[in-house]
Amino acid sequence: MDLSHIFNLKKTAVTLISAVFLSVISVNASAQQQAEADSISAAKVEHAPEGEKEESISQTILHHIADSHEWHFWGHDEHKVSLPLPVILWTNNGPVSFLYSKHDKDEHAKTVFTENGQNLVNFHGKFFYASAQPNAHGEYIEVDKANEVVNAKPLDLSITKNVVSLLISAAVLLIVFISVANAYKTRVGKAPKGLQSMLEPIILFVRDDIAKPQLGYRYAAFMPYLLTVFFFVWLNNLMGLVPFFPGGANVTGNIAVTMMLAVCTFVLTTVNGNKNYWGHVFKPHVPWWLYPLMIPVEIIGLFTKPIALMIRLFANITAGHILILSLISLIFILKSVFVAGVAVPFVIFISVIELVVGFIQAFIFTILSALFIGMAVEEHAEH
Amino acid sequence: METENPENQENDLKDEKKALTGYAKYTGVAFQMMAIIGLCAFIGYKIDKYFNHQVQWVTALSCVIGVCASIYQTIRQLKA
Repeated sequence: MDLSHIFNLKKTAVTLISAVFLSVISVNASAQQQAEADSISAAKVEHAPEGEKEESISQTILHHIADSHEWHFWGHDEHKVSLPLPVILWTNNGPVSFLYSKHDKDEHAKTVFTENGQNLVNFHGKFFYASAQPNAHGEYIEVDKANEVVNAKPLDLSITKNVVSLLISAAVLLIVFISVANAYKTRVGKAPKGLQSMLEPIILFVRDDIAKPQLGYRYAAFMPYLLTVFFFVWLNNLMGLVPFFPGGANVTGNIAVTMMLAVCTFVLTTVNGNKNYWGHVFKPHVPWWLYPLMIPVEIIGLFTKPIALMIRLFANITAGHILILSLISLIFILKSVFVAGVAVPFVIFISVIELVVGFIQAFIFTILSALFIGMAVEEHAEH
Repeated sequence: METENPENQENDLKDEKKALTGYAKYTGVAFQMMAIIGLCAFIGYKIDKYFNHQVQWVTALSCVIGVCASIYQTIRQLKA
């Protein structure tokens, strides 16, 4: 199956869908949305002083895309409704664990609590060893010139929002793909059915359009990795776009997650690299007197490929999340309910684009992984 | 009467796949150039820090090397 038409389809279909959405929503639902936004903006604008508002909005956006010890549903401060997650700290006295709701009342390090004989403070959702004396602002931490906390930190091994989200998507993938695999076992020679028939075209797409062109006859050995990476990235991209539980965690927009994915690709290319591949690195096709310059460049080149993979996925997904949140925030920055008539359709428009971006980024991550592995296992390099 | 023969169709399909690979490959070029220059600058910066240089000439030099290296890498990828 050839899915390259998706790239041609992207522009036309997205424009069409969003044009329809735009017209329908801006006409029919704007009154309702404005009424809704009215109450929200009134509530927010009232208790945010003029100067601090823009800063608080950018903080809210950054807070939304960051990892967290609780799964926030709605409301804030004392009206907050959220799912607290377990905090696991490795302190000087050994492991400490508690639910985040136990110590979430003060996030400004103004109250010290004791766990397992250790004095700790919660500063913006991060745990530090408390200072003996409070600083000028009454916080039990020390801050340097660059506003960085200098206090020591216990090792944080918590099950955070991103970790829970990763576990959920891993569970979903396992359930779906074990059932599909069983369907292939029990329905040998028969037409696919249900979930199996839904996923078969996508699995074949990964095989025929990603693995085979890049890897040639060796594709079978790398199919498990490529399929796993493709569906993992894709599912997490889509889950990140769901605005409520169990979605909304910015998993593939977390650079640590994309780094581990890139490390997997790096390990595969390094382990599978053949004579040809390493020959390119240590005996590049340049005059010998350029070797001292070219060999380091080639070695750096080995690392930049996975780094590019890591940054691209992280940047694309994070940018999408920030874009959507910024458009919503326009309502509060311009302090007018009528902005919602423009902002909300725009958010829907961007969300539709993000659905496509979620697929394209998963596809690009997989095809580049295949390409890099293909370059490493290729027998006759072209010149 | 059929004018298209299967061979032509196969070639079209191959071209399309090549275009797709090219698309994926070249979207990475900018990030790779960025990564190379960034990595070189970082190494140079660390060397300057370590030797306490007043003028950070190692950083400047390594940036230039990084730019050259990124162009070399790009050209090599275009050829492959």
